[in-house]
This record gives sequence, structure tokens and C-alpha cells, in this order.
Amino acid sequence: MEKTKKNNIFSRLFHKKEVVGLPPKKKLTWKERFSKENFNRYTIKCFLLGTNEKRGFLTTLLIYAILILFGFVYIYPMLYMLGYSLMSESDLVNPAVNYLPTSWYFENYKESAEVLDYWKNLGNTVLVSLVPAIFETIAASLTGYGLARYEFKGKKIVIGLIVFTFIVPSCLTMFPQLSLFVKLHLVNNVWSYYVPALLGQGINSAVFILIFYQFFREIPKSIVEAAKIDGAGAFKVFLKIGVPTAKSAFLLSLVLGTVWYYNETVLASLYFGDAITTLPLQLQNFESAYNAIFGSSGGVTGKTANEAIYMAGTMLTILPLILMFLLIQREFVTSLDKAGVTGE
Amino acid sequence: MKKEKTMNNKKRFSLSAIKEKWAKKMAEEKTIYARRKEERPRIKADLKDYRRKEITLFKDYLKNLSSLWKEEFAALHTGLKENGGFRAIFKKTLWSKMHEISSSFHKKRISKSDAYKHEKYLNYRAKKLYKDDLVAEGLLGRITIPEALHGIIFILPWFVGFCLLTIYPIITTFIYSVSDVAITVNGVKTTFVGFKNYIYAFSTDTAFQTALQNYVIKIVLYVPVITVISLFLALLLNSKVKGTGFFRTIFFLPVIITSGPVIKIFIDQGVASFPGIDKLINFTELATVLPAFLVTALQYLTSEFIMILWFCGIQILVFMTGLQKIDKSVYEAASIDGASSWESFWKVTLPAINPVIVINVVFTVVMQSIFSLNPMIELIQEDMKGTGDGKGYGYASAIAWVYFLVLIVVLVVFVLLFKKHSRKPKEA
Repeated sequence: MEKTKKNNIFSRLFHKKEVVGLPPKKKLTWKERFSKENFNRYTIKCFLLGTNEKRGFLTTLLIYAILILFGFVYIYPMLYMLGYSLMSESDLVNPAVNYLPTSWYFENYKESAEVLDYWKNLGNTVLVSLVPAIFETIAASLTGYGLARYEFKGKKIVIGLIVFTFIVPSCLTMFPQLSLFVKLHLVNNVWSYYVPALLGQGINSAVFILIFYQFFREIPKSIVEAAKIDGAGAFKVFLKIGVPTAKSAFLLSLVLGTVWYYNETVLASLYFGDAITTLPLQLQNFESAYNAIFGSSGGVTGKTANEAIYMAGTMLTILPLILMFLLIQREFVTSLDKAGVTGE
Repeated sequence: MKKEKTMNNKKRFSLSAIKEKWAKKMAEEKTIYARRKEERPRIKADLKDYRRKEITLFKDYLKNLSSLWKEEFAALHTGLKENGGFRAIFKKTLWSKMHEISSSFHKKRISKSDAYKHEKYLNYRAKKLYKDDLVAEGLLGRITIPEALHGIIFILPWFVGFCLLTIYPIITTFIYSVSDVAITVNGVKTTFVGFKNYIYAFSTDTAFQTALQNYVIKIVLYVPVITVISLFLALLLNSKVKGTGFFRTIFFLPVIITSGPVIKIFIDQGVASFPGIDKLINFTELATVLPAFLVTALQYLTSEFIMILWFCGIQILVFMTGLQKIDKSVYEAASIDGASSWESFWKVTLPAINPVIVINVVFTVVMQSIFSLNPMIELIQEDMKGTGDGKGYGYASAIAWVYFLVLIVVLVVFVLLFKKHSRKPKEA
């Protein structure tokens, strides 16, 4: 009977938690608060500077002030960008207008979307960022699992080599990789991204491998043995035990992999040439692309790209990433918390 | 009568009688042994036959797998879920068939030990069957793999990639760097020229020298600044204030959008730093007082201040996880011993997160070196395109090698510097 009572919605709502330990502090009325006992030099000092148990009001204020200051500095470029991207030409010329436009002016976005060839290039970008990130994650998780679960000779050397691959800059391996890919006909299509990702050599794959290694090492061996006795093979143990425990590592790897692939321009321009254009690549030669569409040609005087259009283009380029991040922000940050990147 | 009885008794208990009895028993046993000896080859044959049967059964089973699947689905559809799914049915059917075989053996009245052997054998076969998963069974046939090999199979793709896409290119780049590289229709042709490219880079190519200098200045400046700022912010975020999640999101947001072109546009438009910060410091005056490299360092700091902050995102979060892992009782003990929060930061926090600091320093150095706006990477990209002295793939790969070596030196120096402060014995 008691159980049903407790499960009742109303009883749950109004159920008071039983406090074990010190009794709750008595709430003071305003009169009491300003009485001589509670409002004197000592209490004010405690409130402002804090006691051993409690942080002072001033330090809290200071912490908030610093955090807000840094927070503002962090978003300042983005706010600036947002403001300027909505400015018309008259706003830009007008010295009285700073940061905020006089009216919403969306022509910049229209023009820059046209220049960036937005939807087509966005599709391309997804194809060369999300998909390789998925492949990279799969390869990294398998490698990390193999390293964490099994003992074999030369394991430490392998981990050292993984750290080594993280240190090696891509410019050192770029050209031979390119010639190799040319031989294998992988250049100018998406496979020049997919193949290294599948072989665990994608952008910063080493980081993900180490994160997965950390995660999989924490699986207790008794669980794995129990699964084995129940007749699960090595791969099944990985799928049924490894993957669920490392969920947050998967999310982390997927998001960071997507972001890093999305923002990569050096390798993209090298591997894809003119075949595939991503948004950041198009942003890189924004000016020439703009002139090709809106510039003066054959006597017709055209426009030149102004600051606002650049800003709108940049905004459009980073918009998908920001949207993605804001959508999964909470899960992502908690998964970052779980990824204990200590030791090694 | 009595005599007969005694005689009988005598007979019964006499030695000869006992001997006779034993002899009889021995003879009986001998016949049993002989029978068993005769039977043994037959049993062996039966066993062989049984194995053959079992194997054919398994093959049949594999053949009929699809039909079994159908059966299983049908069973599922008709609500026979209580049987425990396909796997259980699979087990049951196989076990029942095996049981039939074994019971038929038992009917043939084989000796107990042989029956035991059969059972053992059956168990062994069954275990072998179920040892590996169906997936592995399909992938790898019926070969069973030792444990250690499993691990090697798991990291095999990575190893192939490592050999093909890291080690081979690094060596090839070195070969290119000591030779003239010509790209022909048939492929890349190299002719050995010795260390000409390296000598040219260090003797005549001023662009390379300034780029390298700028790179080193940038790294030496950025890494401590980024580490300190991110540690500072992590400490603030860790200090139990409300709205930590919000600030954390803001501090991480730049990581998502940092790419070469975006940052370049920011720097071009002058948003990389606060407006007017250049006017605060008069660099031309400073140049007369301070050495040149300090002035350029200061210029870097002021002109890209926000961008430096933007590179802190991941480091802050790594520091935060590191800080949360410190045992709070240590702080309590320190405060009881009379340590102020300032002292406990230096004597508790810093030594405890020293490994995290090293990780962050390595991470920062590498991320800065990879970033596409890095002067050295820009130079290498430019030099790749042309031909002649100081251009071309051979020269670019020579620069890349120098860059790699410098990067390693910087990394080692930084790691040694930051590791020095650890007072804690090494963790096992």
C-alpha cells in the first residue's frame, strides 16, 4: 500500500525529503536579518570575504566577472560577425553605425550563398566530413579495443607508434601519400579521405585511438569472461559489451572527427583538386568566386565584395557546425567529462 | 555327515580351493579383457563413424541453416519466443541430435570409461562449435584463433595503415629530400643530389629561415600562454559556481569553428583582437628598447589575442576532467594543516595534475604545428608548386623534414620543462 502511495504523482510532488543530519537553517525574517545579532561588522565581513566553509560574496563576484569577461572575449568575433553580416552598404559606410545594423539586411546572405554555391557544397562537405568521421571512429574503436582487451608482444611499442603518428605533421607524409593515391586511382574522389580513415590514419586518429583505449581498459575482465562462457565470440563481446560502455567516446570521436575533417583545407585542396569543393575551400577563394559572379565583366561595372559579404560567407560556412554543436551540446560535454584523459 | 561337512569345510577353506576360486575368477576376467580387446577396434571404428556422422551432421546443419532461420522466424512469429530465440533453438536441436547419437552408443553396451570418453568428446565438440560466434564462424571458417592473435587482428587495419600511410611516406619524403624530383608520365623520378636542398635552405633561403624563426617564436609564446589561460579558466569553472555549463559551452564553441580560412578572414577583418589594442602599445618605440624577437612576440600576442584564447577549448575541458579527479580529502587535509587556497594550489593541485599539463602541452604544440595558418606549412605548400632552386617537391620535402625535427625538439624541450615540476612519485 505504501508503495502505491509513494508512486502516486501527487505524493511524489509534495513528498518532502527526509533530511538526515543537521536540521535546516531557520529562515530569517527581514527584521531579524538586520538586527544587531545578525548584521554587524563580523557578519558583513563573513559575507563579503567568506569563511572556512563558505566562499565570500566578493570572490564569487570576481569569479563571475572574470568568466563573463572571458566569455565575452570568446564570443566577440562571432557577435561582430553576426552584426556586420547583416549590414547594408550604407550602414558600412556610415561611421555612426558600429556593431549593430540599422535594419535587417539579408541580401549579403543571399549573395554569399550564391557565391559559396551553398547547398551543393554543403552536401560535398558532409560527404567528406561526416562519413570519414564515421569510418575513423570505427577504425579507432577497433584498434583501441584490440589494445585494451588483449595482451600481446609489442603492445607498448604499438602505443608509442600511435603517439608518434599524432606528432607527425601531415606535410611530411602528404606528397608520397598523394602519389600513392594517384597510383591507386583514389585522387579527386572521396576515397582519398575514406581509405586513410578506415585504416586508422585519418586526421588526429591517434587521439581517438587513445581515448578508446582508455575507455575499453576500464571494462572489468569478469564481465568479458562471463560473456565468453555464454558463448560470445570476440567480435560479439566488442559489440555487446565494448560499444555500450564506450558510448560517450563514440560520440566524442564522431563529433570531433566531423569537425576536424570539416575544417581541413590543406589536404582537401591537395586530394580533391577541382573535383570536390568544400565550404571552407570555397571560402578560401571567396574573392575570386565573388568577382566571377558579381564582378565587372566586359564593360559592365559590377560590385566588389565588401566586409559584410565576407562575414555573411563566413557565417554560412560555420553555421552547420554551430547548429550541430548546439543540438548535441549537452551530451557532448558530458561525454567529454567522462573521457578521462589522464595518464599515459 | 560330519566328516563330509568338515571335508567340505576343509575344501572350502583350503588353500587349493581358494586357488581354484581365484583361478576361475582370473579366467573370467581374462575372458572379459579379451572380449574388450576384441571390442576395442570396433569401438574405435564406431567412434570414427560417429565423428564422421557428426561432421556430416554439422555440414547438413550448415546447409540447412537457411531453412533453420526460416523455422526460427516462423517460431518467432507464432509466439514461440519463450524458447529463447534462434540461438537457443540452434543449441537445442544440435544437442538433441547429439544426444540421440550418444544414447545409441549407450545401447550398444560399451564400457563405462568409453561412454565417458564419448561424452567428453561430445562436450568438446559442442564447446568448439559454440566457442566462436556465428559471425566469426562465417568470417573465419572453422579455424579457432588463439587469444593474442585476436588482439593483433583487431589492430591489423591500423597497422596496415601505419605502414602504408605513415612509415612509407616518411621514408619516401626523406628520399625525395636528398634528390631532384621530376614528375613524369610514368611516375616520380628521383636523382640523388646529396644534402643540397638542406644546405640551400639554411644558407640562402631567407623565406624559410624567417618562417622557421616565426614558427619557433609562435610556439614558444603560444604554448605557455594557452596552458596557463586554460588552467586558469578550468580552475574558475571548477569552483562550484552556477552556470558552469553555459560558460563551458562558450569556451568550447571556437573549437568547432576553427579552420584556416575562417581564422584568416577574422585576422584580415581585424576581429582577431580587440580594436585599439595596437594603439595602446607603441611598437616602434619598443623596438628601440627591446630586442627584435621580443617585439615580434608581443606583436603576435596583441594582434591575435582572441585567436589564442580560441585555441584553449579542448585544453580547458581536459584540465577540468583532471581537476575533478583530484581527491578532495587532500585539500581538506591541507586546509587543516593550515594551508591557504593559494598554497594548496601550488602544493596539491599542480603536482596532481602534472600529467594532464604534459598532455595538454603536447596537444597544444602538435595542434599548433598542424594548423594550416602556420607559417611553415604555408611555406611548404608554396614551395611544392614551383620548380627550380628552392622550389619543387624535393626542396619542399627537405623543409618538411627540417620542420619535423624542429617540432620534435620543441616538443621534447617543452615536455622536459613541464615534467620537471612534478614532486609526486611516478604513478604505477
